[in-house]
Amino acid sequence: MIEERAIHVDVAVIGCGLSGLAAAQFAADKGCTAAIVGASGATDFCSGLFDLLGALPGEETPREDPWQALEKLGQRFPAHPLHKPGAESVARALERFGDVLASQGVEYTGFGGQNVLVPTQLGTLRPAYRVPATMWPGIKTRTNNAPCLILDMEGMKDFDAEGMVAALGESWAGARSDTLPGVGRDPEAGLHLLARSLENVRNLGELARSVRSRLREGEAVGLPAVLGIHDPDGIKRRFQEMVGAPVFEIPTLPNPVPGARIREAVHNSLRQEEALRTMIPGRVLRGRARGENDFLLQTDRREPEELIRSSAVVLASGRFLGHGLQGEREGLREPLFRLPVAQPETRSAWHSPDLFHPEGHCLDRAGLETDTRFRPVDWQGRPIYSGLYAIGSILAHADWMRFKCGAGVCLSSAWVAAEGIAADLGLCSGEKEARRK
Amino acid sequence: MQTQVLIIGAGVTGTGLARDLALRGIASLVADKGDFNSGASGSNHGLLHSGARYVAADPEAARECAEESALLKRLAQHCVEDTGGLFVAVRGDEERYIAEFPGLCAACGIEAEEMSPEKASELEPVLSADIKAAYCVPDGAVEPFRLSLDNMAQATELGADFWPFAEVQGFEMDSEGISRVRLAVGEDGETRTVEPRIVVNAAGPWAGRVAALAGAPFDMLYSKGTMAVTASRMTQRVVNRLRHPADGDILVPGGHVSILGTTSVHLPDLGTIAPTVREVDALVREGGRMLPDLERARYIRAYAGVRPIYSSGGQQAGGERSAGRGFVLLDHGEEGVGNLLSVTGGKLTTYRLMAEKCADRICELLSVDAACRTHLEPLPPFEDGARLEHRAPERIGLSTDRTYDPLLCECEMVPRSHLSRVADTSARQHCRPDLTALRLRSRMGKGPCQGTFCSIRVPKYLFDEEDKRKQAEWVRDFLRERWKGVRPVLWGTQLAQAELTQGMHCGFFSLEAPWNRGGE
Repeated sequence: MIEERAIHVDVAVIGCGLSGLAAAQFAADKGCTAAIVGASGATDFCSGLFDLLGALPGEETPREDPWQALEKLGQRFPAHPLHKPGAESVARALERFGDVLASQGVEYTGFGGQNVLVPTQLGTLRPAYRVPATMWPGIKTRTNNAPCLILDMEGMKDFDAEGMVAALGESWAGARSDTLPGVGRDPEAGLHLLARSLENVRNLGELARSVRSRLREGEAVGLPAVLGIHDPDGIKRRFQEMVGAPVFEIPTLPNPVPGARIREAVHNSLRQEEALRTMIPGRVLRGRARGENDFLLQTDRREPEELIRSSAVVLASGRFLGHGLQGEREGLREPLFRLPVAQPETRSAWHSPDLFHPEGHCLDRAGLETDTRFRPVDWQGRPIYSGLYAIGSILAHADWMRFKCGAGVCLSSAWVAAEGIAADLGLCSGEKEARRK
Repeated sequence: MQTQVLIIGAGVTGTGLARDLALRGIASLVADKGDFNSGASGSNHGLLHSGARYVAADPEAARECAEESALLKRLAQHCVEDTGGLFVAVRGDEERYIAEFPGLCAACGIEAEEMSPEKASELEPVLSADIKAAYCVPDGAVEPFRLSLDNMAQATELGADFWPFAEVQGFEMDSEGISRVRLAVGEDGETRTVEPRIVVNAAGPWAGRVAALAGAPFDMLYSKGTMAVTASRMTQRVVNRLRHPADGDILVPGGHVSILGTTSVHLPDLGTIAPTVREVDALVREGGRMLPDLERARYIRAYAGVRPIYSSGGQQAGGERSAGRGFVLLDHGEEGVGNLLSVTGGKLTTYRLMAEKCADRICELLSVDAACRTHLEPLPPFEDGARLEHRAPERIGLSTDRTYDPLLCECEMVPRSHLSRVADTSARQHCRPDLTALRLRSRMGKGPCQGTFCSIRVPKYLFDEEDKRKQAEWVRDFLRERWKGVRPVLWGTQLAQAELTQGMHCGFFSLEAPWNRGGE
């Protein structure tokens, strides 16, 4: 039987984005043996900002206090996936994930229980709950309207320092901009390569000299997020010492470096987890439920990574970019397990004629309906398989783009799913050590 | 200001007329309430009709098309791709029409060569296996923007002028007709007055309205046509369905894409013209009968235009599609407006002829003895505004110039240097080089990502500080306009593409958020 060639684990996680990585980590924390399959670039679209709940559609201002917003969410949008886990699980999920990143030199910070407003290069303000520590001084500098020098580099197509300063205008009158000469031979090599090259102390020193020569007394320095992929906190510290002024990073367009940092950090952390059996950089082609708690996944990889057998599956496969959902002319479908997808009746109703409709598009609230444990349900609300979970952006009613709740949904649903799986397997939190022995 | 002829409408007819007049030594001013080709000239198939499509319903129009398309192939080579065309019938299509087709073509002077379905499939391998009859005709593809830009460029060299974003507010009349025309020009709607000897109303679907301002109203039929653009080119030739013209029966190649069209929906008035999901679905379904791959293809956008059809009053039998496609030249002298001409109806293919007839009449009115030259002289390519095949030469090793020239639109490989030239041209045409003006004059923002990235990159390199202050607004307006065309084709890969667009511009930049929309 082909199944004999399969990798056997407690839980197979499909998808390598924020929710998949978190689910693998949380499951491993609880001592579940896990496999994770997904394209390794999935976090590359992640801006690096961690939002929890930044706005409620229909309101004129962003939400300052996400926890208060969470209560309101329950009244206005009871089906929203952030409403299911309860505030405590949400908090614990964010905390644990933050610890994992911090342990790898990727610290996150914020205003206690409050949201922060992050200025973007278009001059807009984006609410977030936690931001990379490397970006934090920028938030403070802007709030105080303190003097600062925002820099880009020749050949950096996706970040415009002059444009950012112009667009922020009066709201950050203390800011001015300048352009540094390009580095390397191909000025278009991109932010990722630049970030890697700045992990080398000599390159970093060269950049610091160039920055120093343009800096005025009392100014902070703002750069697009390029200060290394591994250990950005350490690199920023060193860079700051070299420059002799506070330094901060600014989030950029896809594919942003902070997304790659999350990927690298969680991969490193997972590698140290004994419970994680394998991380497969591929795609699941077929999924089969042989029973309520017996699944077989076939990937596009060769043996021994072709087949995975598990007692639970976490579907963290995202939406259309991630292939978690397929949008066809006739409607949406979930391709792996043919799960029912909650969706508008016709394609005409998918999108509003206004791309920037403040309430969002119906399609962005389409997705998988689940029970409170994040198991996809049938039309009568019953879990389809007791061991099948769905988390992250594939969930119905989430619309992370309007609610500014992407990380909040991903991490909290991953948390709840991991708890459910551990409970099914009869593992409680203290049992990890025991099981290892 | 004074001018001999004021032309209202900068579509192919208006710009073609400006050139025709300029070659006869008559000065003109072209004014449009938008930019070039804002109406039907900018939202059509780009099909250079051999005439074969009209042989049954309108032989006269068919003959005109046959002559004019042959002329344009010769005189405007750089705007035309002489692809050739096929007419194919699929199983179930009307036998009688198929049988009569070659005779009707011959009667209109159109070469139609019969071809076995096997041979047709050899030429175009994506044709359906259900093809039962095929004819080869001299159809082609034409770039309407380039036609207008080139016509206007030569006219300008010879002394004509162009005012974009200049909308007619009203006419002042005297006993002869129109004495003065009031126009609202530019963003702030500054009023300018023009004293023309002749006014030509070439306002396309809006022609009825413009004439009404002069007290000479006439009725028009508005027929909306929707087209869908595939991500890659499906066929070498134009492919037509061999039947009475109906929905989804033409596929026209345009550079590296194909354009599937079209629908015909009666519009009661000229509101917002946007393509719909339903129309695109109808196109894809019908197009799939001729080319099954059209059902599986990726589409990058759809667009819709309004056919300006002159209505002589009485109800026309057979609906709008069979209403005359021939053009009309209305002399409003009988209504007491002796110096107003309206030219409307017609087709892209016959724009030159419309301009010629109109210019002939102007010469009569002005008592100028000058013959038309546009059927003799080639249309010179206008280098600056040329919509180059900008597969950036340095990327493919053809350029010796090593100065850094970033590709700002990566989908269509448009480098900064090209867009700077386009921006200069645009400014010379009195048109503020914002994202929309640049898109109109280049291939920027026309590829699969539909402006997601270049809308951010272009301002960085081309806008000054003042314009950058309003960056968020520019980007929002530009993407909103693109979205009208993107929305109906969102399934499959293009839906994933839209997820990225929205993730970036709403999820990240939060351009939709009320607190970021101060300017609105």
